Amino acid sequence: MDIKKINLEVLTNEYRKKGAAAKGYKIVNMLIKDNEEESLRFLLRDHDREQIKSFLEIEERDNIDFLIDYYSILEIALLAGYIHNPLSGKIENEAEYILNNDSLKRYFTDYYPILLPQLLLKQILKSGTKQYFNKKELPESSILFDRFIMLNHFVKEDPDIDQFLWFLDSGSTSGYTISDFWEVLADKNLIEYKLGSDNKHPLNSALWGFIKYIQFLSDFSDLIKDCSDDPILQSAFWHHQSYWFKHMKNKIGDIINIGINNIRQSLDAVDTEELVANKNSYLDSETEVFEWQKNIDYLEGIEDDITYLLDDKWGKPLEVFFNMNE
Amino acid sequence: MSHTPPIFIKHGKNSSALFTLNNPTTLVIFVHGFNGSATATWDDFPRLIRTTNDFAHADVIFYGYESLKGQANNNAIKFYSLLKAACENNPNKLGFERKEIGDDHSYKKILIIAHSLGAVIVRRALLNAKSENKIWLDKCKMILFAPAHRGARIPDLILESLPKIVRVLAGLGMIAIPIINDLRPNSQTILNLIADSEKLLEKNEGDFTIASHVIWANNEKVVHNQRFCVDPVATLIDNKSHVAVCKPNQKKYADPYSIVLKAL
Repeated sequence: MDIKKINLEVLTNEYRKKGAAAKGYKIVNMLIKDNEEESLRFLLRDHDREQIKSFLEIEERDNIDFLIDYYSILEIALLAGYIHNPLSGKIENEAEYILNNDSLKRYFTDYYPILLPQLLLKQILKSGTKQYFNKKELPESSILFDRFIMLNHFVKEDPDIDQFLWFLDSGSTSGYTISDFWEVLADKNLIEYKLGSDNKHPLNSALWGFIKYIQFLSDFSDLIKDCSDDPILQSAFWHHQSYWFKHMKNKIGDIINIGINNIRQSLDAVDTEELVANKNSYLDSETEVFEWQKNIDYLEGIEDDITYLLDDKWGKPLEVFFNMNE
Repeated sequence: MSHTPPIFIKHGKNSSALFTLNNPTTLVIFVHGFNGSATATWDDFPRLIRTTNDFAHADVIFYGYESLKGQANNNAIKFYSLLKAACENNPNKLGFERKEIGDDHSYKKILIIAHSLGAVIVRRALLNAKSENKIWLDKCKMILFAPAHRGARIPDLILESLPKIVRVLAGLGMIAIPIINDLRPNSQTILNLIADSEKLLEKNEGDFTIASHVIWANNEKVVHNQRFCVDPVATLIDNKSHVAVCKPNQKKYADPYSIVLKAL
């Protein structure tokens, strides 16, 4: 049984043939086939030059992001030795059709640079039918790749994380923005008032998203640490999140600079009696509050995980590997 | 290697399955505890399943659910939906097509492995199955690691199980976690679980409520290590905490893997 072939089949079913990526392919294919290159170019414009306002455009760009992400995942799978190198002719042809389109290429190379699809395209264009690269396969790499796709699923499929990252990326929902969110986080009375009434409130969702995203950052930093025997794969995992860790570094840094510091403010203002009386708090006695306060240095660990991931050095090995493929 | 890579299934939250490439005779379902994650709770289990042939004839599901939101019994209903889907339909419908599996295929054995809060959810789901007279209930076996079915010590549960940020926010009362109340030893959830199981056992209809293996940690601080109804005497594991007791480690701690393997 050819496990690498099955791995590819599963990845393609999961990340290309269904959901947002399938819709993304349909949009791109339709615009290319209908000679609507100009519409595609406009759809995939740089949002700094011309804002993306319509809901439909946001959704279509999102779907195309998922399609490009499929090719990023394939590149990481190749580097992990998880699938056969080179890809089959059928997959290569489709990858070239999508990734070598001028509008798409500009989108993931110039406007929102992501190295992984660039690397895959370069390898496909260069190799003919040969292997893209020779890299020693470590048995551990496939297992690390399994962990990577679990984490990727966790962060991509969670509506609360999506809401939080949407705020972080300057989006607004029902008039609320990231400023409202940070403000809430600094004031426990405000948070109880705002979140108490409606479970589906965007600020409530963003709060859960904030919590889950911090958990994700901790798990992702563990994955990066566990991958030290394979620096190129380690770097590829990091590059998969590079939009956040590299291009949105300051915004992610705000999780510490504003988010964590705002929680600290709430901690500084703790009133033991009030906490014991608060039905939402699990702390039922002064002793429990005292024990809980002793563990407040938890927040330092969160800062450490984020600082670790925001280090550009993790990106270097794959950048060197990319340039070696010149 | 005898399994597919992880395939995400539509049941629960972030649940994934490793489908065997052979004929699946057994279904193994792992159910995490409070704030666990579908796979991370089980540490080396996914790796061992993927890299050995020990589970060659078993489909394996790592079931995930939102333990920080919602109540325990709501999660039990969702888990019961998975059991119905897996036991009453062709396994291919879970998400991986195997041509050699016929429409009349059904699993011969269903092995459910639960940690901590997972035990409460699994027990309630099986009681739900009993109340609907599901015939597949006879095929189900439970292995329970550090089960919370007799309740938990809440501050310790939070300290050992929750991520750092949630510990702080939950202490501040910024977020309410309803399931915490379900895990208090005298909660209605726990008391009803015991009472409903006892009733069935008295009528000789409760064999399915008896776990086939219970594992306690000697360094347990979170759950109350007390026997549930007529469960067998627990296996006590030395030098393991509530969180670590269900995590096999290739080199240092093989017990959880050996116990599950023996029950296959």
